[in-house]
Amino acid sequence: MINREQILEMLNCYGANLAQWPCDDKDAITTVIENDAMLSEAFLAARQLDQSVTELFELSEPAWPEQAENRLSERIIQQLGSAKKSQRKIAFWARWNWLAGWEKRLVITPALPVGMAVLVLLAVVQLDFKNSEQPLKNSQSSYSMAELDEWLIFEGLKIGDELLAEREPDDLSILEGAELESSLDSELIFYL
Amino acid sequence: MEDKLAQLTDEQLIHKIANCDQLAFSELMSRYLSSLVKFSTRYTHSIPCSEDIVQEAFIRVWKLACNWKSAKGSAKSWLFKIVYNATMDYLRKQQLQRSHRESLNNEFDVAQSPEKDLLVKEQSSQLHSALFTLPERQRTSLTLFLFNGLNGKEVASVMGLTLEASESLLARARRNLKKKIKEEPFTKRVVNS
Repeated sequence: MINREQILEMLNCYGANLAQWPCDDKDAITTVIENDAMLSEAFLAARQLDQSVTELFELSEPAWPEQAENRLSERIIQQLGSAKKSQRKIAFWARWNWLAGWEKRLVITPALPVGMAVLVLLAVVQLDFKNSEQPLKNSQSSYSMAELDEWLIFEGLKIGDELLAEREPDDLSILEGAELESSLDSELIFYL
Repeated sequence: MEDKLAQLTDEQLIHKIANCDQLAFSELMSRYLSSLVKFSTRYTHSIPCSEDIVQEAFIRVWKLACNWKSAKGSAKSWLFKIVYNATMDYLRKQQLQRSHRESLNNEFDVAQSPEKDLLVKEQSSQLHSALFTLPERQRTSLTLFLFNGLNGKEVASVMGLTLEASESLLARARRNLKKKIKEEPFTKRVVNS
């Protein structure tokens, strides 16, 4: 609720035209003014000042005939043709809403298969990339036992299954080979 | 069609102008052209100059309507702001502000009829002196508020002030005017009549 001091401040600032006061409870304000002798007097003084200043403005208003107004209007309208309108910067998503239905379909129809193709291509490229990464990891960590056996046979440090089948069962060299193999295995494991 | 446009608010007209609607533009001009020319003439004291200023202002409105945002103030205050700024620029360029007060009574074309002319000559010389000796910004705020019907917020927007500053300006203008009117016997008689 607006108090007496606030009403006086408003009168001094905005005058007696309550319609121009920036508040809502104007009926309540009118009641307060009517019931307060000092506020009523201030209200009347403000109204007199408003009236005389408005009259002064009206009296001193420059004469500007209607023909002049029409002439100026025409002049401005003529100039509009040459005036370049500035374009507002519209975000893509905002501009999208302005597209007509057929324009949207025109964009969506080729965009869908192209988008799908791009997705598939990306998936393939990623798989290929993962596969190419695999040997690199292995070379830095460990060999499989099959690869190790292959290398040992190649170096002559291990007897392959084929060679073992050709030998006589009582051949001592088999035992020697087995001993050698086990010692080399332990050596290799130590180094690896 | 024109009846429909007449029912639209200024803000709706500006939106239509943004979409190159010339009829909406004409409607907006019919609403404000006269009051803007008269408002500007209060400072320039020359109708042709004010016509040029207002013409440029409306061309600007046509060009920039798409950039106008209601959050910044009403369409009416936007129009007055453009014209006010253009008028101040003009005054600065012409260096008229210093000779403003001296040339007031000589150049001001206020006549509308012989009777009114007489009345104006009799009253306005003293009333003018009360109102027109107010600092320029106080007078502008009062003109916009009392004569052009702008509210406090719109006055603030036109003059590039906060609402509090524009309220303070209006209050000072009224206080100074009351003080000057008390000092002038003729004006007092008019005020009390």
